[in-house]
Amino acid sequence: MDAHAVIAASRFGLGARPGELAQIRPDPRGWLRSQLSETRTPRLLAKLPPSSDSVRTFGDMRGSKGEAREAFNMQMRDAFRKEMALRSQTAATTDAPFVERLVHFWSNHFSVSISRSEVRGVTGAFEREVVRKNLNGSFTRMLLTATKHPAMQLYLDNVRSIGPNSDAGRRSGRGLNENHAREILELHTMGVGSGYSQQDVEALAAMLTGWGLLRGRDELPGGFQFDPRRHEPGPKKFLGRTYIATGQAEAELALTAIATTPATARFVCTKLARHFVSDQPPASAVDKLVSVFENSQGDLPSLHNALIDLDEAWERPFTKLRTPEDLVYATARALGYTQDGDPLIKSMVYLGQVPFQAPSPQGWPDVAPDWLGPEAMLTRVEWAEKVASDAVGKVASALDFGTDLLGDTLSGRTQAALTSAPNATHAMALLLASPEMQRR
Amino acid sequence: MTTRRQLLQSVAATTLFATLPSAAWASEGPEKRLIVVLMRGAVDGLAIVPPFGDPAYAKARGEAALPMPGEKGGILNLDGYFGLHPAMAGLLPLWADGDLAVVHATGLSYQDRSHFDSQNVLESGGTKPFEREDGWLNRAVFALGGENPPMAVGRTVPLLLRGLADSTSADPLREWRPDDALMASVLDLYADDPDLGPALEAGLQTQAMLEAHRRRETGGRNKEGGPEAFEKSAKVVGSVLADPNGPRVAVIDTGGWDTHSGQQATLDRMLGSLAGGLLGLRAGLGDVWQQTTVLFITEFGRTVAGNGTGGTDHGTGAVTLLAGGAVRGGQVYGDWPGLANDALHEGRDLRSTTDLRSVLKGVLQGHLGVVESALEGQVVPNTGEVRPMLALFGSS
Repeated sequence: MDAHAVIAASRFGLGARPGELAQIRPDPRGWLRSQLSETRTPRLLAKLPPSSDSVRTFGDMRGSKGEAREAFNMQMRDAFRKEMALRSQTAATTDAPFVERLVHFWSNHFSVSISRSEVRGVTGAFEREVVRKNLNGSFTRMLLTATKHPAMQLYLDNVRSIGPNSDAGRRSGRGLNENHAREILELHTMGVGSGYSQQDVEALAAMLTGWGLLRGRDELPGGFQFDPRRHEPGPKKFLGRTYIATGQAEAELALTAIATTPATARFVCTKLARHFVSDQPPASAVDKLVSVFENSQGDLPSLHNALIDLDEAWERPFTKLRTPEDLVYATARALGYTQDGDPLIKSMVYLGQVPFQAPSPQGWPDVAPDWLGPEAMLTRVEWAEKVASDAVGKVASALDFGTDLLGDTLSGRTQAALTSAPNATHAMALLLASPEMQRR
Repeated sequence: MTTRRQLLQSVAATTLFATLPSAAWASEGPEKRLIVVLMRGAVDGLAIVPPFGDPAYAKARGEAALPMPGEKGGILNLDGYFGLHPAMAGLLPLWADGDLAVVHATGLSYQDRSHFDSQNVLESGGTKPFEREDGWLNRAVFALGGENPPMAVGRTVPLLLRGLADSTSADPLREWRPDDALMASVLDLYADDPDLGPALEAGLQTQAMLEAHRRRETGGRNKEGGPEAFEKSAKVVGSVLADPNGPRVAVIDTGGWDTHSGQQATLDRMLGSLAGGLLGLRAGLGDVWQQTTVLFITEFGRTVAGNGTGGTDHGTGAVTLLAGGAVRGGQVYGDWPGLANDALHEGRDLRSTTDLRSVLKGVLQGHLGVVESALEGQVVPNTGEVRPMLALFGSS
């Protein structure tokens, strides 16, 4: 009888905190729905600087070398680290964990990574300005904001792309960098194999030329600016339609057009269903989401509510494997951890998944086989043991503790193991390593 | 989700593998070893093995061209026409010994320039992306039978090694002090879960086996990381592969080859590390190097011309490297399509003239001894027209 409450807490949320299951139990769907009306930036993140602030700082730093430059890089690293700690502390303590999961989902959809060091200074701001700000808007809006954001422009090289026949192109002999255009089509909107061609990739890349950062600061984060001197002149033919030369508006029109095509609806909704239902979601679930996407023109609140309405998302068994990031939040919430988020990030490093450090623009994978290897499993159990030995003094009985978190979804086998464990640390490690904690 | 058990049942039901000879592995005399190095992100084959003798080379590559042999930081001459990236100088002795071979202008039948789809085809051995959920290397291991599960280096098992045959994964440099009592209880706790228990059990077994090799090769001090970590890790991998009780097949997963910008600095660093890794494998393997093939594969090549922004974009024809005592090296294989403008694929990419699957099939048949019927029937199915490149191993 507790399955729905646990599903709300774990599959939709980030795991129950002590005592939370009792609050969810009377109305799990209502508990989720009420979170969606929360639109304020979480308290811990409210005072962080916008990416436009970086413009001034970067402008001042332009051309600087040696110690001053090193000090500046250090400052960027510290700022990123501080924001990541606050972000994970937010996930561990929030009263709206469903919203937080959605934020993480969309951030991973529009994945940026600090593997490019210059992206670091604006990555935290990317999530606030692109994802949080547009969570109650449309997919189109989020796509446009993501594409323009300095973090994405830098990460996918669009700042370096120049129309070969533009003023700047003719002068420098430089040309198109098609990386960003390809990933927009393949990863952010329509999905590969949905009918676009190499010519379409190049056309979109040409339309995106001139989209960049404040002029003269090519390699450095700043605000968005369109530079007509880098923009490829002339009309472009993209997905069978001709876009007359209008500068910045070309790519805006093209992105707006692809944001709501059936291919995009299906691609995005399949990812949502995979995240909230199962690794191989039933077609019925995807179809329902697709029809909501299409009828609402990609309205995100409608989609998020449709997830709650999805009967397929409320079924047992708990087959989704928690990703390492998820597991860290769930464990922290289970233990009622409210302190500094830095140790949570360290745990994610240990387990192999760190926010904004995905190995490719595809973002972090979302299916069990990509996380469940022998070495990975060993690491999870060892981590559970480490956490248990730190936490054990705070918990009287692992069985009572587990029952409070997981209700009657705590299996007979796990209950027996907790009861017969030789000592308290061992019992706590077993609870944290249990299938009930590893899956959602 | 399809579990391994379900997959096995469905396979048993259709008797797909019932007629396969399974003793091929043991009957091959000295047991062969195969290490596959996956290079995700589409490495620039024209930078690893630059065709400096092609009259169109310098002009066609533009800013991506490397300095000619003899110039400062120049290409290392291999055969007067092809050369090696200067960061890989450590591999020249292998070339001289005939332990390093190149197949140039290789490609998949799938040519759509998407990393993720191409990697899927590269690993699954299918003709279309996401057509199958197992990897060609796993199917080869399954066809050969054998006791020792293949090992992926890293946390998880890549698609290449997923499938019916048991496989494992391990970090060769892990610190290893397991709490045996706890591990036993956790295994018990996982008895009803289809995935967690088998994964943990394999992890425990593999690490227990690795520990002696880790001690021997690294003296137990591995915490520092850094550029030498890859070579050190490769040494441990080589050592455990040389162990009669160790795996015969391993996969090393590498990434970060997608050089849209900053290509020169990235490749200097990463190719140097890659070469170090290969030397580490050789050191760890010892005499078993003579029975070994190391195969380096990537999902596609990169554009011939630099993109004007310090990098190259997604292309087509790639390079495939093979190393090891078992390889008939010191040669560049394949048909060179040339870099002249009219020779390029879609006016921008190196044409692919060798189906990568003929290399894979050459390795599986010529090196590992997978029999032809198994190769055609299950391991790399529906590729009858793609002939195994057996010349790589001294038979034809």
